[in-house]
Amino acid sequence: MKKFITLTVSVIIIALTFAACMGGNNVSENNNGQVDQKETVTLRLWGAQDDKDMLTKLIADFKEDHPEKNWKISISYVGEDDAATEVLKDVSAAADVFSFSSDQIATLKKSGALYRVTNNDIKTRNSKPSVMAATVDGEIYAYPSSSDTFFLYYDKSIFSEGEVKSLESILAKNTGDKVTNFAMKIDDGWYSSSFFFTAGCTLFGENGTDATKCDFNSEKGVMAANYMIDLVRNKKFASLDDAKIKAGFKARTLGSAVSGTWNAEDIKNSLGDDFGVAKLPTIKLGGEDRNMISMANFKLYGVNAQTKHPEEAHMLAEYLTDEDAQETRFKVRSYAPTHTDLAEDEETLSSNEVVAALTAQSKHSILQTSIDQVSNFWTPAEAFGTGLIDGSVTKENVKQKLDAFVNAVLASTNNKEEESTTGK
Amino acid sequence: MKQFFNSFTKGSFLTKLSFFVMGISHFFKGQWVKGIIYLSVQIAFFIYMFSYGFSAIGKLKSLGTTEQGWIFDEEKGIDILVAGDNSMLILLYGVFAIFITLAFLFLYRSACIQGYELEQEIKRGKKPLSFRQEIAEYGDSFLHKTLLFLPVTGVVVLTILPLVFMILIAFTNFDRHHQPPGNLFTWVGLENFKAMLSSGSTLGKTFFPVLAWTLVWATLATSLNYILGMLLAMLINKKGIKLKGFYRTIFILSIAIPQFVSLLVMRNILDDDGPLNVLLENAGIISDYVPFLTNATLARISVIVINLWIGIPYTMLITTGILMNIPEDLYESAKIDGATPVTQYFRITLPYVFFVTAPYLITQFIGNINNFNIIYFLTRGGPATLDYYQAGKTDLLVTWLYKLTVNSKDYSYAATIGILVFIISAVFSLIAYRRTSSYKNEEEFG
Repeated sequence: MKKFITLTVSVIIIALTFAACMGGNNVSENNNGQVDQKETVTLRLWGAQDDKDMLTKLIADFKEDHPEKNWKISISYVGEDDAATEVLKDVSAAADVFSFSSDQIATLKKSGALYRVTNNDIKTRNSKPSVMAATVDGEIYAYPSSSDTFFLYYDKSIFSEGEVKSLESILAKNTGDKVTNFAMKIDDGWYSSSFFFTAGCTLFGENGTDATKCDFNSEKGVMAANYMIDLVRNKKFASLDDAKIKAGFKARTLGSAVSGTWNAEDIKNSLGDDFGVAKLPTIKLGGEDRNMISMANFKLYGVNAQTKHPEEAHMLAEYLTDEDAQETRFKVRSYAPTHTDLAEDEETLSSNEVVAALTAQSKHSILQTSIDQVSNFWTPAEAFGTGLIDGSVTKENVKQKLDAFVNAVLASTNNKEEESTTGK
Repeated sequence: MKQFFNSFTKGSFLTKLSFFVMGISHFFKGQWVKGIIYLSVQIAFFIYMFSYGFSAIGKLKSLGTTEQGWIFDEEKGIDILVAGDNSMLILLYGVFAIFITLAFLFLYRSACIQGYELEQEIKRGKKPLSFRQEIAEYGDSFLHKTLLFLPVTGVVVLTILPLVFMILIAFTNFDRHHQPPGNLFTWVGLENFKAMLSSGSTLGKTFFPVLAWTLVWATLATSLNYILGMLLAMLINKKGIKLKGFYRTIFILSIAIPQFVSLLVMRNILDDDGPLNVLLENAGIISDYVPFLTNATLARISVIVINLWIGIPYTMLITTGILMNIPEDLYESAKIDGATPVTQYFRITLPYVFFVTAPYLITQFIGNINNFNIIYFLTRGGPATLDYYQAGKTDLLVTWLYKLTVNSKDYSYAATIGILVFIISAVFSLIAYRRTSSYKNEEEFG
């Protein structure tokens, strides 16, 4: 036994020593690079699978526009919504430049994964909300690329343009037994929060950065919740997820539904000439018609804090989000631009009805919060929605349920944590 | 240990010297290759320890003190990263260094003792084995060591080392507020266990109800599967039933389909707008859909029932074999004595089957406590509830653990739950196993 262990261990140690040495060599080689002619810069980019063709083309253009260096840029496909999870697995192994949704920016910044953007032009040439979305603690940490929110899809053979202006008129129309007038996923906080926002509530304070504030259980919140209770009880409403919304439009059993750009193509294919899009309808709250407020999200390009080539990575990120790139994105992928020149060019934008609807809705949207406390929001929001659907949330106990909702959103796991932060 | 000290006190000067310079006595006593190997191992170890090892172990105490920082470079116009400590890597390298040290100490001890033994052997007039002879021994009388070398190394490096690392995380505050490399995390002792086990805290209010459901689920899922599976096996085994092979095949077919496929299909079938609800609605049996997976109580029942469908064939398969092995004369003599079928079942069949399958039953119970697949593929832990923190009504501890790591990156709490689940499973299976007759009366089988 002794000999055996002796051997085992010695082999392990020798192997490890070799491994360590080899690792060291690799790093130093990378640092040396090749200085003889053109500098070779190796960059890795993470983007969404659907943007594959567009990104490939943009990279080719980038190489052409910057011939002073020998570029080796590889693209891997990591969706914007998974970016934070993937990057934070190991920041040093993540891509040099990656695209992500703005709701992850605070987490990414806090974990030290983002490089600060010191080019102040970004601030002036992008729309204010998009710059806000890229800002953490007063500093910009990412390059805005496109804006995103949800809006209303409708079947023109069922509703006219005038009828989809208010939710009351959508629900009032008699469309027969088979057709659901209005659908949205009410057990998903991303959509359901819009009722609370419309009523005037805020999540995590005015700026969405205060982890101790959420007033969904205020009088306004109760008003919004009561509206939701009535809505869910209405036979003309259904809480449907994306797949069912698409299926509903295809089967022509759905009049209108709330969803985002990612479903535009499918719904357009199902509805053909009857395809209609509009900003979200108004709802009657406290005696007045208010436009429904949506959570807005931005797609951003960030630079990895641990990149070996910070200057070049910033160059690439900037290139991928400049005016030309945003225009390509708009034309090829129907993404709403954040660049002010493009975003204010209503003539061009209205050529694409989906982007036009999105832009119209953007005026009635609030920025989706990105602080990490938000990971406490989704599950209670889902639970509250489930309660609405199964009828366990009633007008009698709604205040209680909202209190529980808010408690869960603001819950802190560690009492000690609170003490130490207040102590500072 | 005693052997080790004996070697030092009784050994010659050269043997004593080899306590400081490994392999030196081997080298001068004819086993020079081995001596060189020992010496180079010692040198490699010291190089490693002085360049990485000691600092890695030293940093373990605080898990890092310098946070990552930035310096603005005027010339380039961008920030320059000043790397800080990465608590996760410090913990990992620290654990690694400790493993290396332990391995080295083990080797060191055996080298010292071997040195002494070598000395003794030479005194007795034996010629020390040459290196080639020793290697040959590993293909002959030490063959078991050679064969075990890879598996044991694999287990240590791929299982035990990560396990220790993850157990240690339970004693740190590695949660979503302390994500490296931007933040440091540090030791918090038993704080996580306190947060988890105090009934008033956010986590405690979720932990205990989820634990209760986990135990209810494991008990029901195991016992129902077992009883119903056995009944099915007996039914098919009964004299006079035709097409026995056909029935067995039919039931076993469900094993042939990958579990996750059948679970996902079930999830679709039981959906609020799924085929089952539509069917019932069209038949006029129900007017509104049945929330099979979206109502807490119904979802729990659905999960258990679907698990029956998946689990019964396995029990049937196992018990069929045992049933066929029960000597027929036992039943015949029971019949002559006037025993009813019920008595026969409780006096002959059940004890017989239970004797053989008790360990299987325990494994099943533990397996069900950690039955991630069924819950995750069927309900994702849902329906969500306002009463729990990050968990739904059908979440087991193991799926809640998964949500804590994936959704909110609270690794420390997840590790804590992992340890608690391990303690529960280990205690239960040890107690249960020692009480089974298969353990107590090992000799009496048959």
